[in-house]
Amino acid sequence: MSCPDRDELMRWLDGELPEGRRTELEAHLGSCAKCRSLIESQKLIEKVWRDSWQDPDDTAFEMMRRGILSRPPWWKRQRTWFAVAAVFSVYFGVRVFFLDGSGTPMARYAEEATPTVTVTGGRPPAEDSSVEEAEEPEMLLEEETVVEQAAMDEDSPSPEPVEEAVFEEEILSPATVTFSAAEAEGTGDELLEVSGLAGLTGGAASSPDDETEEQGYFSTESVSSSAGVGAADASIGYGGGGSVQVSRALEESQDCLNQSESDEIRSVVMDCAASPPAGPSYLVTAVFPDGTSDTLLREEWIDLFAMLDSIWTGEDITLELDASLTEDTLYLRCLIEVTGY
Amino acid sequence: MLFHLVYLMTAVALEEPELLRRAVQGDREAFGEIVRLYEKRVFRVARRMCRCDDDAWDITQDAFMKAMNAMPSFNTDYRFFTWMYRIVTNTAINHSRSSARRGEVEFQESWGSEGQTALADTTVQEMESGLLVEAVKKAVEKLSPALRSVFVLRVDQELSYEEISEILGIAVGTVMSRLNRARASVRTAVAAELGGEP
Repeated sequence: MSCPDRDELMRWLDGELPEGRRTELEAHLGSCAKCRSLIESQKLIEKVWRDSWQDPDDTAFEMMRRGILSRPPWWKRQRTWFAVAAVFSVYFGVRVFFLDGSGTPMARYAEEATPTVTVTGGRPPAEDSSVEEAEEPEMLLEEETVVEQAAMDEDSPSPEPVEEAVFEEEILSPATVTFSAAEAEGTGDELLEVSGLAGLTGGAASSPDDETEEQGYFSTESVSSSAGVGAADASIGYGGGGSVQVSRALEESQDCLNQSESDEIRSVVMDCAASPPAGPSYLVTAVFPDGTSDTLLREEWIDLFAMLDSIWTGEDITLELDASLTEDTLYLRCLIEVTGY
Repeated sequence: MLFHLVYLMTAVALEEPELLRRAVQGDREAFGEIVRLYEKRVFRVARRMCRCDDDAWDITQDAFMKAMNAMPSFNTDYRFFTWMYRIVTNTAINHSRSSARRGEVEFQESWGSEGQTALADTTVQEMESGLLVEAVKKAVEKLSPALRSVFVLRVDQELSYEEISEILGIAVGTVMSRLNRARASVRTAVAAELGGEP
């Protein structure tokens, strides 16, 4: 019998040869030193590799097991992500502006947006007033906004410090104002638009607990990262590719939503829109992760935040949402605390 | 050692169906017991599939997390260990690929197909020394993830071709060809490392 091929020898070594062929091959091995040598060296290689194994200490497994079991169930993590998705949808997409005469936002709003403007103000072009008269209230208005912003930052610092520099630069450079808005019903001739709320809001935070960072599925890193992306993008505002980046950043969160959760948030938004409170107000448009948007009165958004707060406050996750209104500005702040993981 | 292994396997055989049934219904304590029963084997596969302990812990934890999340849909008619092996090997393969994309792993596919009678001149003393162990470890690390997974499941875990086929979702013939290529690669690499003839 000539020497079998190597594949067959290895199958014999593994005990995978059919009975008849195995007998033949074993007879050959009894008389062929070359094949025996091949088999023996292969067995030795595999044996030393197998025997070189040493199990880690049991405490390491114990720690790993605890880490696995301490993680929240999948549905709770989905809910967490949903909260983040919902918050950041608002966080990224909010614009505040007055209604024009027909009750709809001005179309040129989006067309004239530039990547860096965060807050602008001014009187409507239609107003019959001089440039000097227009500049003073505009600057005052912006200064008030800066003061408010500073107060907000004390409580919840922006995840993107650069934002402040951009913000101030724009404030000091009225020439860069590009947004405009129409007159709000019943609120005089002041104009204000706000986009990219990173400069106006706090960021997201989570527990600084080391164990949380190490073992928690919903880690500090992931929360901060979401906030960071959002903040960076919000600084770009509505112009250019900003909203595209926002959509991309939110895609992962959107993946975590199940249909009923999506429907839940959508129905709340729709309910609010169906019965708007009386009286003049700002319109706030939220762009959702799937690219659709809803426009609500600012009071409705506050109600919505209160609802979200009640849903996503539990022993493990605290979602603190805060919306405060001044005469002409809506401030939003979100704080997400993840504990106990 | 043998007694411990037999005891463990017996315990697994007795406890597993009930534990699985409870785990599928969302019983975390039961799943914790399942982790305890399988953690060492899963970690060993993960460690054999990657290059360092840290990666192996990540892969193991990730694999059990995936299993825990998917437990509600697990069909208890199937064998859990097959399913778990599949999860950990897939997780390890994906991990290796992403590491390779980051330039962390070198693959030497060219070492694969033409292994000869390696180690013919290697002495028994050399083989028994730590040099051989290190040479084999390095050789296995250089296998591609696809070849390594077959090599690990057969040589380290001593699973049958049929079981490997089921775990990896490939034909038995593919298992055999990959295993032969992996073995040839390892022999050639070890021979090169130890100065023997390939």
